[in-house]
Amino acid sequence: MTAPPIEIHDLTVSYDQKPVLWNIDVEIPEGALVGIIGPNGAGKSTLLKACMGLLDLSSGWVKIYGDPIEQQRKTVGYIPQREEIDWDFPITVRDLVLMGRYGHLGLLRRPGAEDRKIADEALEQVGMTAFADRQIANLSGGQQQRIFLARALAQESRVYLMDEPFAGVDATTEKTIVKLLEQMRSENGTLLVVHHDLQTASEYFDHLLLLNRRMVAFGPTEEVFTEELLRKTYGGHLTVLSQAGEAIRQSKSGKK
Amino acid sequence: MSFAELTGEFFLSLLGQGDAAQATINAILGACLAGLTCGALGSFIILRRMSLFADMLGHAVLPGVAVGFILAGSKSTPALLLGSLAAGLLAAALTRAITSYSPIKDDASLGITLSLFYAIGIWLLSWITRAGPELSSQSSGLNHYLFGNPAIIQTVDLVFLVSAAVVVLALLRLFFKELTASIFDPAFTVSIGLSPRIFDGLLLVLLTLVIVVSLKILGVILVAALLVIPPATAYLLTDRLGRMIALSAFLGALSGFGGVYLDFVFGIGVGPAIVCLAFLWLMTAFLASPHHGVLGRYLLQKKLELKTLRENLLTSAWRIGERGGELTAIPIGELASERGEEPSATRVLARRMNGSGWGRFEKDLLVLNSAGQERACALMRGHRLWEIFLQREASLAPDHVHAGAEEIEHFLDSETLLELEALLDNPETDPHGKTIPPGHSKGRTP
Repeated sequence: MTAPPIEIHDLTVSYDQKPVLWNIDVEIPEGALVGIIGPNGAGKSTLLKACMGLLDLSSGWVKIYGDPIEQQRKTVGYIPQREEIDWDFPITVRDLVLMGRYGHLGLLRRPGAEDRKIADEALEQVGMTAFADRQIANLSGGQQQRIFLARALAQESRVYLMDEPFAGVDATTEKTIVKLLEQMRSENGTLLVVHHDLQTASEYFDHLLLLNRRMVAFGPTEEVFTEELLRKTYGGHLTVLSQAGEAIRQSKSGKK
Repeated sequence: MSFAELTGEFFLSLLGQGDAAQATINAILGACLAGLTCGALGSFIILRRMSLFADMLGHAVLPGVAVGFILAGSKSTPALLLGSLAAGLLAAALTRAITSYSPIKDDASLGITLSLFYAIGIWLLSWITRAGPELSSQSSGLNHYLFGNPAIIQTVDLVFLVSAAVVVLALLRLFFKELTASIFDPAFTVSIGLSPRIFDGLLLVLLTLVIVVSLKILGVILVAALLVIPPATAYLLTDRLGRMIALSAFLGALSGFGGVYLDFVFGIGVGPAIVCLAFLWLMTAFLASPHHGVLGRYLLQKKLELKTLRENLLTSAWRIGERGGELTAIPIGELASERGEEPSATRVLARRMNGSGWGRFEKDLLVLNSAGQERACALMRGHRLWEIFLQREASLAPDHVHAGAEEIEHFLDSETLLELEALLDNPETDPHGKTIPPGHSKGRTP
């Protein structure tokens, strides 16, 4: 039996000695398109960062196809939240996407024609070819998100971790991203996506991970997207609960 | 000697022989090399936001110079360089320790380390002058490390400068993509298995190296300037990192050369001359840069204002035309009353139609050609479609939609107009009952 794409065991992460994630245990199956949902401060971004080895773990481990993340760098692509970027940096769209190839190049080697081709194909897939030579600042929010997706595609990973790819994105870009995610899954990719909107969560993802500092549930969307489990996840967040209730009603009435 | 004579002498010495000429040549070489190296490395430094850190390091190496001198008993360049290097690394470590082990933030920490090391350096220098004759006799000229003095550059200093330049440029070239990634996106860099910390460390070591070999040119006080000003200038002039580095290196070298020249002719001190010259380029870029320059943006603004003014005349003319007036040649008086202003004011505006390609002011008439009429038509169409859009989609009352449409009509291009028409199901009248002028199959982009 082969190792699962992502296996998280007894994971605990702390900031300043206060735990923000408790004893997370989960196995993500191959080819799953997983949405991580939970209230603000639930530790969703933290979970992704912990998987990527960007944070120290107080306990537990994360394995990618049975190996620690350090040995599987080429297999995992990470798309962080957009705010942390310096948009005035003197880099063009194409150069940013080309960065996705750095993992394959290793130290000292410079990107070659093949790498440029892969980068251009990735740009094509997200519909940003016309912008290839622009500096990154002169782009809309949705366009910026797409080029980071293109970078992830250029990495040719098998596992993708995405932190709120739909945040602040226009409708066209949202459709593009959803199509892209499904395409990546059909090419045997496994995707773990932090998402903020309950309504669309039940539509976009085939699995859901309900998180509120501890894992409340993980499984196929139909099984896990229930009022009871959502109540447990969102606790006292009442407006969200009614949102959730509405979302469930709609999905049950066959909107999916 | 006059300015011209001095200039002549300066350039002659580039070809000349003898100690004086050699000293000038050395100064020029030293300044250019320092400028080039600082400029190249400085590009990474300002992008990494280490500029103030560079300033701190520049000051912090002073005690290293003093200690090197004390231990070596002479102004041996290798000794002073080693001492400076050690002091620089120590200062960096202290700065980091302060922020890591206390709530004190980066800026305060830099201020602390800078002041401390600089003070110790000054103290040691004055101690040296009062120390026993063996030391103090050798010590004259240590002051040059404070303010810089390229006049005392010797061959051995040039050797170090060239070596440093070669090492720095080679390493920057070698690790270009890793440095870029770790500065731009540290999280991504970690995710591909590289450590941004290591490349920060690389920058730190290169920075200390460059500062140390440039000390004699600019002195402790100003050495950070070439690490900041030329790169900042280049930053304003280009959007690509490779070009920014090349441009910054060039500007640094140019400032170096120019500074030596200015000192030769006016005697103002090489360090300050280099820095002021570098700032001059920065000011030029600040004003004139096509993308970011103040002047460029001002001119763009003026262009936009003129276009808006002319287009407003066109729409006024169109309205007159709708009521049965002649569109090709409109009397100013009629135009003025349509616009609700004095004819004299309208005359001033109408004159500005000259040179627009849409018409001109002639014999107290606003004369519009076919291009101008077409543009007026498109503007009116845009205006009225937008009014409908606001009314339907934004639920604005009919008497609220005019002002918004008035502003946006200048910016609706033919593509957007087609989209609007499709969205609104090709309406024929606007909220005020006015006809919407027909569009053209080949739209004209403004």
